[in-house]
Amino acid sequence: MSDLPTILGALSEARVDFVLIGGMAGVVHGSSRVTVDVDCVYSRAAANIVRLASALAPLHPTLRGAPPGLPFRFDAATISAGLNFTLATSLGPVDLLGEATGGGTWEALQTESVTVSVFGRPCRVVTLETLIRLKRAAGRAKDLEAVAELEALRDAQRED
Amino acid sequence: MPIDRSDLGHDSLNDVIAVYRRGIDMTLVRQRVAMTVEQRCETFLRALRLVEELRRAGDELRASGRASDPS
Repeated sequence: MSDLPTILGALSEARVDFVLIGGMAGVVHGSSRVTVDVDCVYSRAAANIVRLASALAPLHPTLRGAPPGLPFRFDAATISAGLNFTLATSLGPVDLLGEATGGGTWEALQTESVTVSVFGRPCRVVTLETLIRLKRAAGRAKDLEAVAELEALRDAQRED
Repeated sequence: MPIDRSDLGHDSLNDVIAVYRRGIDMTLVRQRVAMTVEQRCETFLRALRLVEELRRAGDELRASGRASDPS
């Protein structure tokens, strides 16, 4: 079961600096594609990593796809030592990216994002144009299919 | 499955995207554009709940061993 509002709420309440990318960002821009995971690029600032760890720790994150029993401690030290994490949490999958393919870091992406109300909470989301660029850079078949819809949304917005 | 993009130039990527684009219903796209962000999020949540319920029903069916038995 995915509980996206609660996951985003936990990040928002802890004042974590992050930018929403991926399928959820697509939904904000009008995509009809259903995604179950939260993809976000987070700030690597030490204080933000501490906030991120405390926000998600109650959701008992584990590494998605890792062998059962593999030791994993989700804390600030682990996040600092790594960069990108694909996590399973008690509320659904969460991908934490220190750097996104084709988009770079939080510092780079926050200048290409907008703040919108998502499930009643303020949330920074990459612009449609940047999301298209990220999806093109990711380049998987499903990304290119998403690009087709995102570009159609962009064109429809321009018609308005 | 990742695409090996070493063989794909910019034009080839655009060709792939153009093929996907042909299947898009622009009337639905315009409906989405007309929605507020909150409306899009609510619509998404309803769709997600439906998908999860269908998956649950599918899991239940397979667990019952009746998945291939028409009745």
